[in-house]
Amino acid sequence: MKPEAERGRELMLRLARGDMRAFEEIVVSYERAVRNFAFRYLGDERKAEDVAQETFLRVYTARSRWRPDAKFHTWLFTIASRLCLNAIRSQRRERRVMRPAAVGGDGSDELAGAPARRTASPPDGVLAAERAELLRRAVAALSENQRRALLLHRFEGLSYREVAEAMGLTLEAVRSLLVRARRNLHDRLAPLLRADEPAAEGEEP
Amino acid sequence: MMERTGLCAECAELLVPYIDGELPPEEAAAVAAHLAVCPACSRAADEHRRAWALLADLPGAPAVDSLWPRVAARSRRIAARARVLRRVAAAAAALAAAFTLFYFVSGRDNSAALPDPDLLVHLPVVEQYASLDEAGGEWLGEDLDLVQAVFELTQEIEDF
Repeated sequence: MKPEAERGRELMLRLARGDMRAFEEIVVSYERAVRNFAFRYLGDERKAEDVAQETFLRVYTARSRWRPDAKFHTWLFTIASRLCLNAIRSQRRERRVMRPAAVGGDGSDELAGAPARRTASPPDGVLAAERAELLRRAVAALSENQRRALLLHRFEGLSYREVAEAMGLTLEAVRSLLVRARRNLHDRLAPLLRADEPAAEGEEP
Repeated sequence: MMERTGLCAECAELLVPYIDGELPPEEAAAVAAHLAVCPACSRAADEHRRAWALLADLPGAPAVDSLWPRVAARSRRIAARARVLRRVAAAAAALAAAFTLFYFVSGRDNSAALPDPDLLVHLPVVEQYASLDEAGGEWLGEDLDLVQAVFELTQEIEDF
């Protein structure tokens, strides 16, 4: 077992015995990762913070049910990922009530497509902020399952099997989600990929 | 870009798990062998790698103060609630045992003489909730209504 996994396990065992210092250590060590995950998934700072808080409270209330053979990191993100899904669902309900017209939709296509029309400009024309926005929109445009699988795998370092466990899916389903996520990202990432290409064919001096 | 014929079409499904190191060894070896001879798939694999690398720039949450003080305060409230429930359950169970013993010792018909059938019907609920709380169970809205009912029941037990 990796030291990181060992540490999570040890902290959880201490928490199960009622050691609140261990709980504090868990929150402090993992809050950044959980907030990042929720933020990348939900795209809303406030909601991401709520999800992170709720995630740690679930860790606390489930402390005596936690099985030491379960990998803490995977389990933590299983909770966070479920709470994110709940948040997305209630967000969608809110939106339906507040703004019947679709949010994002055309606007996001417009923005994500914009740099593609400027491929003639030099690669460094893609500014850091623009680049971040492009990535954000590309990921936001994925289906919820694709996005969750992608974030868990690419950012939280969960293996396909762990992602499957966290999402309650089969290994095969996770593999397929990531293949489709990559395919769906293709067009939206194309301007960045072109900009990053060391020497694109036909553009060589 | 990628030729979607024969092995290449199959390769399209395997390239992502391949670069993620998630293919079984035999399949990974087959893909590696194919990439060595197929420039189109090899380019596609390279593009996947770069796409994944690009994602690293996806912004995370802005830095804020630690959540710990808020999480600590809320977890203390949860613990306090659990303690109350455990006491309620213990008291209710003790009371039930006392009644049973009383009627048993006094030789009266146990089932007919118990004071409040409603109360006894609810005892398992009280116990169940206390153990659920102890086990760190999750609470839903309807649970909270039941908990309220349980507290009212406690009041009745105490008044009895």
